[in-house]
Amino acid sequence: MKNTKIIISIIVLSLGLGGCTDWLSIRPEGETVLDDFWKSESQATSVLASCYKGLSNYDCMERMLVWGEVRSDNVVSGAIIAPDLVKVLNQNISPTNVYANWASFYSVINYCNTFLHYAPGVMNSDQNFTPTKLHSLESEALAIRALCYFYLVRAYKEVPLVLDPSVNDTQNYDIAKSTERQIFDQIISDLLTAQKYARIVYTKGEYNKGRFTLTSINALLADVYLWDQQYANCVTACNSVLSDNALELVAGENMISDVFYKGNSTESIFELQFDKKDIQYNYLVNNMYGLFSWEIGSLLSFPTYLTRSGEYSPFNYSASAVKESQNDIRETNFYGTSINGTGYSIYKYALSQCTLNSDQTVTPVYRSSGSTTNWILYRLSDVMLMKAEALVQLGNDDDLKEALHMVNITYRRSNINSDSLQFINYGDKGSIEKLVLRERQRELMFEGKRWFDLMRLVRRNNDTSAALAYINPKLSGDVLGKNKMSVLDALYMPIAKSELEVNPNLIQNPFYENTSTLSY
Amino acid sequence: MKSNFAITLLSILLLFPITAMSQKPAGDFIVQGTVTSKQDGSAIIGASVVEIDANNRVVSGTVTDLNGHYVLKVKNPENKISFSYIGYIKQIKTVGTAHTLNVVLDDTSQTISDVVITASRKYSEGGFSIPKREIASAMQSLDMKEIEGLQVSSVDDALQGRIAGLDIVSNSGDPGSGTQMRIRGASSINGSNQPLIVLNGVPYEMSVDASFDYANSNQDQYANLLSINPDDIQEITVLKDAAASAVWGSKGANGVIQINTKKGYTGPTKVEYSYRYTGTVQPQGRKMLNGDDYTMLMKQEYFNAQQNQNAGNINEYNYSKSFTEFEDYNNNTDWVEAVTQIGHINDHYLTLSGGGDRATYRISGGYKSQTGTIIGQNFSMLSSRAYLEYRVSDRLKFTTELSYSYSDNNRNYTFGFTNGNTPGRGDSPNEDLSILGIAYKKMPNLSIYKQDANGNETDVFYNILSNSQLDYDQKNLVNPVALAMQAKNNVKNYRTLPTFRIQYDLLDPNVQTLRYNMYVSFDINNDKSTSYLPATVSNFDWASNKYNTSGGGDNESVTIQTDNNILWLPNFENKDHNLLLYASVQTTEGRSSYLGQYTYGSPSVYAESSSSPAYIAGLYTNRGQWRSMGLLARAHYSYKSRYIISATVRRDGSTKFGNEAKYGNFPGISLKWIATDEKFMEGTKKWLSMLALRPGWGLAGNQPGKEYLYYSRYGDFGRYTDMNAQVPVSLQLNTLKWETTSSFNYGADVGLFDDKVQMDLNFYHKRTYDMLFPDVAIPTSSGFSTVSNKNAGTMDNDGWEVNVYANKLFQSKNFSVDFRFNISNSINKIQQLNATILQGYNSSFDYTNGTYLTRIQEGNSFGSIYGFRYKGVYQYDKFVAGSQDNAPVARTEKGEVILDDKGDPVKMTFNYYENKGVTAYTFRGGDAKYEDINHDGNIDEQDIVYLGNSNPLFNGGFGPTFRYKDFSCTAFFNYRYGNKIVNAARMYAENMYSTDNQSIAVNWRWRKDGDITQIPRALSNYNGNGGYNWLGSDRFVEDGSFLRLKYLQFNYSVPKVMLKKMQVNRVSLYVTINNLFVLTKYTGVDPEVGYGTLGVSQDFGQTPRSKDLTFGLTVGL
Repeated sequence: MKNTKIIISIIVLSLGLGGCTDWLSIRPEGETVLDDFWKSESQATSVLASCYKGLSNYDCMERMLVWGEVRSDNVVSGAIIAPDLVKVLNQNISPTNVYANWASFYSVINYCNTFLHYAPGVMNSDQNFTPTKLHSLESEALAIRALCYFYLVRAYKEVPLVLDPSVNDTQNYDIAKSTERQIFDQIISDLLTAQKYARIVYTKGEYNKGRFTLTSINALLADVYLWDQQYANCVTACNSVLSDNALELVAGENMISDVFYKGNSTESIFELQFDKKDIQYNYLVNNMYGLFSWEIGSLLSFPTYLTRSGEYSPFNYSASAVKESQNDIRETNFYGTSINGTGYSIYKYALSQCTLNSDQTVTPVYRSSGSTTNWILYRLSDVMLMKAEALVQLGNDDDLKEALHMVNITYRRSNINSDSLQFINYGDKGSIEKLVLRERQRELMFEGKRWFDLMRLVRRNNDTSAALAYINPKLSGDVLGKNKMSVLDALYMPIAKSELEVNPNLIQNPFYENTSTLSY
Repeated sequence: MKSNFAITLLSILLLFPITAMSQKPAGDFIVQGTVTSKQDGSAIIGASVVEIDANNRVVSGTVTDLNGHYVLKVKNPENKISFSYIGYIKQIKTVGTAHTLNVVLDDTSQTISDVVITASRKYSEGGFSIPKREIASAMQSLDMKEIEGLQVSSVDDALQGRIAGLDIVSNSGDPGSGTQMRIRGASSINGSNQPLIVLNGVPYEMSVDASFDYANSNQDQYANLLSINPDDIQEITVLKDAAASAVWGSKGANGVIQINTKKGYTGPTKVEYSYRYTGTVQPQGRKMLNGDDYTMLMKQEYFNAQQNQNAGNINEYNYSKSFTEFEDYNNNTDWVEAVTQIGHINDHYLTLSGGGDRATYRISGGYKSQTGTIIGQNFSMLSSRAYLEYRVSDRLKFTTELSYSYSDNNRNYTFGFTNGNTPGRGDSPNEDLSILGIAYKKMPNLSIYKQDANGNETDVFYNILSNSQLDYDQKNLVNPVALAMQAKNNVKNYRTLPTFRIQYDLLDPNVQTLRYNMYVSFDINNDKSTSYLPATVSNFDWASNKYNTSGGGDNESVTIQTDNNILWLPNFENKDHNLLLYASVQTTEGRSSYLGQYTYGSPSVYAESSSSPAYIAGLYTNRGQWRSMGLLARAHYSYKSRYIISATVRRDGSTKFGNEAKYGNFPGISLKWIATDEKFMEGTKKWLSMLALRPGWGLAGNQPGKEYLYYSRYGDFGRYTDMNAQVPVSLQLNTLKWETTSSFNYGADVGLFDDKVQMDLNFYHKRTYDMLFPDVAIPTSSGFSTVSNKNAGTMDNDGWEVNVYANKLFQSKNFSVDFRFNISNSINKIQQLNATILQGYNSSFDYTNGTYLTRIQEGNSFGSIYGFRYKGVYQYDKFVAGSQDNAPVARTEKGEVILDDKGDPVKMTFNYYENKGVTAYTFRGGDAKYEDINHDGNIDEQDIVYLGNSNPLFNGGFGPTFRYKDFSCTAFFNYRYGNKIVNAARMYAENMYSTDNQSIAVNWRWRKDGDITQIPRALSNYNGNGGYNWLGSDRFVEDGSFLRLKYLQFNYSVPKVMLKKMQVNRVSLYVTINNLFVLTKYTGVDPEVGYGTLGVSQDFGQTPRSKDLTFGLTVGL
């Protein structure tokens, strides 16, 4: 009997071990769990840093370039090129195309949402984290989120509007699309809040270009207003940017090295930072535009618009007896020699400098190793030309003259010996509108802007024909591409098939709704 | 730490009786005397004289001197004195009051008479041991004697084909590469389907990194899994059903392989030495084009794609003397031959074993060196194992086991081109860029070594110049010979496994067994890996991040396992009743850490270490931790050893779940009825010596492969400017629970003709529910693309197994034959799955060549293959009714040609709808013809059909053993039948799409209208004009059935008479031929292909299993 008691007590004891739940709860050593996070200012800042880091991730930057540039008349396919990129170049985008995937922007949005949700709580545990500090960081997070939604709304028109952080598997993630209006209202209200608390200047130099300041928030706001056709507001926002005395245009011949190679130049407003010390390579520039030993990237400059003449050519148009951009530095410094007659290699970002030869030709000097160039989202000349575009739309004579003045600032720094463009040659609104578009193309080519420029034109006209005129030569012979481009809805991206498959509440964008119909 | 408390408490319980005994009052006094031999009356020198207590514990002791005299100080007059000497019968005398004890010992050799031993074999599992005949669950054992003398590289190799229901596929023929094992089919689509290995009752688990991808692991990962020398193994038992494996709870969900090693024994020291030499040869692989045929093909490929005579006008294909590198491009190099060689294996093993009354031991050690069949591979391993057992008394026993192994594996450098930074070969993760893989792709007109102007070889490896006009995929393909000889990829592994055990009987074992057992086991594993890729093997320039790259990594892990258990055999008055009760608490705790770095740009090709000055391209650290615990209760009851019931309940705790699901309960029950013991079966006893039926049921669990899932975690995200970035990296899983497999087993044991023929049969039905799906896609608008695990769906496995063993089937005086045979079948079916999960999980057709849809579909098996149906090649380009019928035109179901508005035949197109028709690819003459399932004149995803699955219908093995006097011969065959393999290696060797070298089959390609062939035209993928000639279709899905003569062995033992003269105990010699032949219709090199993504077998042309010839010698002293 005694033995039985021993046995029973041992068994009871063993079963008591079932309560060992604590012993079976282990926490990761290389990571921090949510309960332990959001306790200090440094943790809050590190999540904010992730928002920027997310923007500069390859997938995200690639989409900024592909959505903003690749469908335009600026580029054609280069050497090694992914099939899906070819399809974007040819306006043949299906819901299975990898560039229809928006995940990289939503990751950044989730970082911002997480920050905005949890950062105020940090004040409870970190005395040094004052409301002022919190608000200035919040201002950045709001601006980054607005930037992401701005890209999404330009590419897709309507997307799900998510403002809460994703934390666990019990939340509902099957979010339907919001209207374009709702998204714009959110973007503008976020930016106005951000404007209120934005920092004027940081103590570290690179922060002033690499993080959102009042000036860069205004630049973004100007861009948003311009897209949303609030032209007066756009001009106001542009003026705020132009009143920043720290900004100054770089001399034309130094642009390729100072603005695009060295980075953080005096005319830069906001650029995503890469840093050799940490081996943060800008692979996008390597792959798309090439580098030393690999001078042909995936993309080449489109040859036809560069060589032919007429109002659709940036460097070969005569408004009067005088040819526009006769000796434009940008014509020799932004792209290079013909490659097999199919295109011209792209110099912008890929070079460290252009050496001017005695015969006025240039010798390109490529970067020696992997590119660590920054990626510019806004710079001064862009804002000047945004202002010009808005002024044209406001439309009275003074506005048009002021617009031409703006164009002349960027024009003359690259056309050093030529006269300024005369109002007499561009007397009407239509001509100036086209001039601004040309100047934007000359100035901002390969910076992920051109397609959006054309899209604004489409949206203003509510018709695709004006924009199609620019792209038509690239699609020569491609009836399908041309037909497709005439449908306004087809200018937006399709929602990725994989996204629709897992989200029953999501509806495909018009035009892509039924990929199995033969005609449209 | 409650478990520590438990251990302490149990230790106190354990120690108490000992201390109690030693505190008995002792009256020391002296006993003395002499020990003499009975045979000749002489004094015995060195005989041991020992005082022992009632439990046979040694209290004091001495040995006799030169005169056979001893003096012993006795502690307690109630104790006994034992007198013993080797070769004599031991005597035990009570001390009493005598102060002089003279003893006469008897020589054992004089007293041996016939002894009949009647013991039943016991099956032992930890402390729980039951007679073999009472086993009620499905399990099968393999005695290593059966396969002694084989050149088996590891235990899994030995098991292959021998256990019914255990399907083993080796990953590749590379030295040290592992195998994939599945018991009774795949019960989980998440993570590992590998069974649990239990070594001497201790789970032998690899500490697996959290990021380890089971489904896609193909090589090396499991290499260390079974680094136990086959010479040390006593017996292997495979537990197949849940009733048996429930003992191991969730760890045993995929079945359990129990390995017991040999132990020491009481007797004089035995020394045994064995040596094996093995030569290995690779089987003849795919025949590839020579240089002349290759260049001709290339020109045609380029022409067809571009319709331009100058398209293929590339210096490297032109054989023009004006080309400066002419001599390097005018050859016929057989790259495959250049990278293969005859491999050698030398294996030495030495064992010492023996022991006395109280202590037994077995110590073994070995050294093995191996060179692979691919140049540049060599492997060496030093291993040792010690087993020591010491009986303090009849009730207390200590055991220690210690094994240590050190291996040094020089592997081939595996070349990845996946970094998007380097333009070059595609990023296909499946592309085989092993040395052999590269050799099959490398252009054959190229020379291995740089040649001078006269065509003489220099001693410098030739690399294609970086400014060459060749396509990038060929240009950047490294020289495989240079890669094998100059690049390094070394892994050194140190592994130590000490185990300490204590067994103590709380009651006198002769009265009633109440036994406490505990062990603590450590597994200390260290991997040191170094790799180096010198610039001399590639054409990358100095600025490239592939220039002089080196990497290093240290991985170390420690796992500590404990088990405290108690066994009780209550005594019953009625001896017909037999009951065993058992309870145990097990804990596992482990940690691992990894530190690695990767550098490039070192200025010197000789500075191999990653610590030399260079760009540091990456520093990686990783730490892991895991814990689990199990509570186990078992009962085994038999009545008249005829009606048997066994039950197990296990409660498993895991760190991988949140508080709601931390514990899972896994019961198992099995019944057995031995019918032949019944009176009414007496009549059939003559031929039916055994008939037993054993139904059983049990639950098994499975947990996700990763830790920390129930936390929302924040992890490193690099930096932005100088700001450290951290991000939420995971969604917190609040709802995750255990995946559970419920299984029924209906088994029967049959013995015929006095057990001359033994059989066991099993039928089973397994159902896995709440299946764990890893990485389930969710809307990315959440900021996450996947949720790491989700429970969804059910899957069934049904099957049966037959295992037959005929012992001495024929027997005469000098001759006998044994035969064994097994066959098993398993059908896997996915029963139900959530539609959204399914959609997110399944890939959709990407409209590119070479991809098979990997899908999971309700009603179909896991491992199913989906693709197009290949119908040959379009003979003509233009359709002309009557004369040129086999042309690419759309046809109705009845086969009538569809005409358009103008009356012309509608052309066959590819993916018409997506491209809205205009730029869709139109098929032409010489293109591959796919069945247009829906007759819409268009080949797209709607024409994809089910093409079979990778699970075999049957698999197993059989073979006879012949014995004649001291000579024996064993043959063993293994087979698999009815599984489908995607022969991707052939696909890439016949696609004529890139500049990779192709197999000679492409010489039969379609070249002009009217050609009748199964091989389409050559079409290079220039500017995406490569057509659709190698879509994933049944053209490359092949039947993987095979029958392999796994080994043929001749064994000769030197007869005892001769041994006496040589003064040795045992000498045996053997010759074994492994893998002598394979009968198969499979056109790849080896039909044994492991399971890849979603259980589909895809053959990417891994190193085939070699043909081996082994000579062995074993000498025992």
